[in-house]
Amino acid sequence: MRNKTSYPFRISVATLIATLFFFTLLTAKPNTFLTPSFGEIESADLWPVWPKRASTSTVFEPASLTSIGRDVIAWVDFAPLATNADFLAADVSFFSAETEGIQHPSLEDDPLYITVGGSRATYDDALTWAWLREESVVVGFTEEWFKNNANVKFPNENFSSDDTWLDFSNWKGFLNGKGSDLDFEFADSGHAPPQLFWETDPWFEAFLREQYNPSDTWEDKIIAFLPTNQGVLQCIEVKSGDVYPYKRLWLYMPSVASRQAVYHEAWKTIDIDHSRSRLTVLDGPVSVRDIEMTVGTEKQWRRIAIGSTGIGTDQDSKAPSYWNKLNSNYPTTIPFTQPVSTTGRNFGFYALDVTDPTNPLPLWSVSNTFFTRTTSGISKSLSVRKPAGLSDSDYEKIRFSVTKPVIGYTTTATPGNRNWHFLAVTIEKDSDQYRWYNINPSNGSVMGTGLFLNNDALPNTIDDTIFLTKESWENVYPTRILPAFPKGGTQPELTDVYVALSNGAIYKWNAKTNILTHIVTLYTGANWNSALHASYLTEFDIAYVDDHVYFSAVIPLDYNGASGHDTTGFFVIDLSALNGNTEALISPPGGDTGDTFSVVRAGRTGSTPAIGYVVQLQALGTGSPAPDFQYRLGSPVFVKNYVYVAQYLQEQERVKVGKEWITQDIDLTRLYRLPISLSALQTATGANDKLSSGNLNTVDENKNPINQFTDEASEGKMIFVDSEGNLIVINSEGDIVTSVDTGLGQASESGPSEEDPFTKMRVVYWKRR
Amino acid sequence: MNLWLGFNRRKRPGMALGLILLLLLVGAVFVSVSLYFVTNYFGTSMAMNRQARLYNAAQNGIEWGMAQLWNNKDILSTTQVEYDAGEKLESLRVRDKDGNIIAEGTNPPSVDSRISVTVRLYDCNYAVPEGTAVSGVALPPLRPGDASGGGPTLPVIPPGTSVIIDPSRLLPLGGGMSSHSFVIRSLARDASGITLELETMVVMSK
Repeated sequence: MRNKTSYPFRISVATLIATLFFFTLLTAKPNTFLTPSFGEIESADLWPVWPKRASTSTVFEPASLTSIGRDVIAWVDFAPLATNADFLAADVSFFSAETEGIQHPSLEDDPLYITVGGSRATYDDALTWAWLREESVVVGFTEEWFKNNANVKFPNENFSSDDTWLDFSNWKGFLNGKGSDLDFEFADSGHAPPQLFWETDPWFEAFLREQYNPSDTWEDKIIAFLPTNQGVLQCIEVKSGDVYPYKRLWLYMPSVASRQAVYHEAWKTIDIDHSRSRLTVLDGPVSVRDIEMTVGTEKQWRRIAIGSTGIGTDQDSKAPSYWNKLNSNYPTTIPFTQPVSTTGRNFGFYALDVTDPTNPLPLWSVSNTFFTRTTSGISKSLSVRKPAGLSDSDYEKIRFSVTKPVIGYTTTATPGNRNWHFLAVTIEKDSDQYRWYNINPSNGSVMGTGLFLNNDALPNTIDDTIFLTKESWENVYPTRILPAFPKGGTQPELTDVYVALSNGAIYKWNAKTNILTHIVTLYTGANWNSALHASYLTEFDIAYVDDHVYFSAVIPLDYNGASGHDTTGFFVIDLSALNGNTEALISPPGGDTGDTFSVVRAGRTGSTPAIGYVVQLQALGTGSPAPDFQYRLGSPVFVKNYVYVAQYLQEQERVKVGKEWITQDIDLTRLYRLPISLSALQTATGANDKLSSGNLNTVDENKNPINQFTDEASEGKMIFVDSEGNLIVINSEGDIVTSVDTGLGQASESGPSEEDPFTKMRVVYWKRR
Repeated sequence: MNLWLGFNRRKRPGMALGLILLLLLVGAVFVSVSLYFVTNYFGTSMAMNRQARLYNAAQNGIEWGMAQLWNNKDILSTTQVEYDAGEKLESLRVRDKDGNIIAEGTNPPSVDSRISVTVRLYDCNYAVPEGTAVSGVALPPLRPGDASGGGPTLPVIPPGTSVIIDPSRLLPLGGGMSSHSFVIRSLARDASGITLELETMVVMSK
């Protein structure tokens, strides 16, 4: 029989114990709260920081910029592993108008490089336990950090030949995708689309002419660069001379990745239920451009690649059980408690010199690993790694950056002289505010940094008004940055760099003056009372027509019905028509059938000017829950006064089975072509706000601006504008499904040709010699 | 009386001569200085007149050079040329599409029989090969299709087309150069070998 009178007593005892426990925690010194029941800890600061696995596979990227005037395109598809839905593998694809079908790169035991002492070294020759201890241990390695009563030493992290969990050969197999135990070749590339680069930069060639002298080592070559979350930048030779080898040339693990990449192998041992765990080690986009650099005493044109760790790797404290799982020689029980509430991140930028595409060289890199342990009061940045001459404070404010690096120049007062820039938008680690960086691309020194201030001079912060946490918001709807040719300018310099923050704010950044001008902040919703910050799903585009500056982007839309509906839409607005307003509401037309458009107006009250239109896609299903975002859109692209947008239908996701790769079933089912201006669209459709399908090659295309691919045979995969100005849709087999003449190939319409005679003459100066 | 006589005795005849000579000396200096100024003024006027005539002749040469460019605007070569390190800059002379030097062998009509004028037309769209010495050579300004700024038009991005600067966007930029810079140098020389040279840059556009 139970003694009911004992309950109050038990509760009192439990309360007393709990009070004593919390009192102990509150009064403990920060570095001694971890004192175990036996043994000694030198310092709690030395508790290793450990990379957390990514717990979401919701990656909408990479949506690459739609290619124009090129006959080679590249893209990646992601799919989860059958053995772990949180691990994404990537399939890398190429299409060339000169070769048949879709091609995939061939992989061999290609050269794998690491950086040792600031110089390039090969993995096979230079990888050592000592190097790992130097590169990959956070915090710094200490031999006798913990010693228990049995006098067993626990280094805070150990990389020694006793570590049976790490086999150099197996790790290499994971890094290069050639491991016999792998059922994939590429890990996902996170926020990074493939970066293609040709023999020369067409913009510099057109505008700088003989001032532009790139190395001839890229002659007749097309090279693709793709960072993958294995922790390596992969270089693939697409074209060489008249041949398309589609062959990987090399892999490079930049220093920023080597701080975390080896933990893939550790996690494989720790989490025996899954073959692989996803660590976002090298998740950020890479950009390749030519810059002028002083090499020795000579100014040279060098081709460089700059990338980042993207979202970076979350940090936690190493769990006590991991010691035992990674090294069975340790005691079965770790007699101390893991610090709780540890948050942190590893983040970094890296730059390689790829002037010789077969001989990549490390240029510079910076990385910062930081953590905060609220229970111990520790909040610190760990060893900001950087080139000589930089201070820690230059980079230690950054939590992460997922924007694509913008590399380019601005002119100086001296004709022919240029200042070179690498522009990035980051998230501050302590404030969730957007911070811009203007960096010297040749050495990593910071030339300027600041916050994105709105019209009230208050810093912009990540929006979290819907359902995602702030950090996830930037992860899923990353901030976009693209350089536009200066309106009225004479050179492709970085004076009109547009930034679309993930909270809907649009800025124009002049890298020459570091003046950032807030243009407008966009919201979505049925009305201002229910307005939410707009976020951008893909890259935006900019076009000029006379004095107008048109901006187009793809955003998620939520509209009120019998139940809430989530779908997608794209809009075109005229940034020059805001009439002083700094806010605009993108209000979807509503209704489930989609393919309707409504007018976008600037400002909240009074006579709000019409600045453009928004097209809403069909919302699949009705009632609640309706499938969310089943229709997706590619990046909009402006060509000759029209905006082209591809619509994709994601019917299902498939996984890879064994070695057989089955990509996600995402089909291009529609192609939209709408006039760039609202008035032209209204003229074309009359009073009707409904868009209808037709053939975009017919005369009345404006009235039927949708090319619909109704059957599986005609469903597309990718779009691009080829060198003849035709918008090409290819299917998953690499066959051309549709070709739409954009008129871009008719150069004579866009300006005088070489053969046209001169018609005007003016005097520039008159002087006596 | 004697005193007066004594005084009168000290007044010697011919004393006026000295005064006259003094006056003559002063007058001579004055005349000399005047003559110096007059001669100098005359020389200056002559030089100015010569310079004016040289300037007018050189200016006439410039106008003539502009006319040559305008009259040949339909056949001017716009292909970039290469400086061949020749001191006379022959490689940079403006040519027609067949490679013939524009206005070669002709000179501007004479406006002064005592002055000869030589006009040279140079192309500003040229390249200097790496390693070529250029010090001491009066190269015309380098304006390759006006990319260095200041020109009226450049490669044109089609209106309503993406202006995003990206290597994957190879736009048909208006078919190439739509303006071209030329330099006209006109050297006037008179019979005594004194010269004056004028230089003008003109931009021709389509």
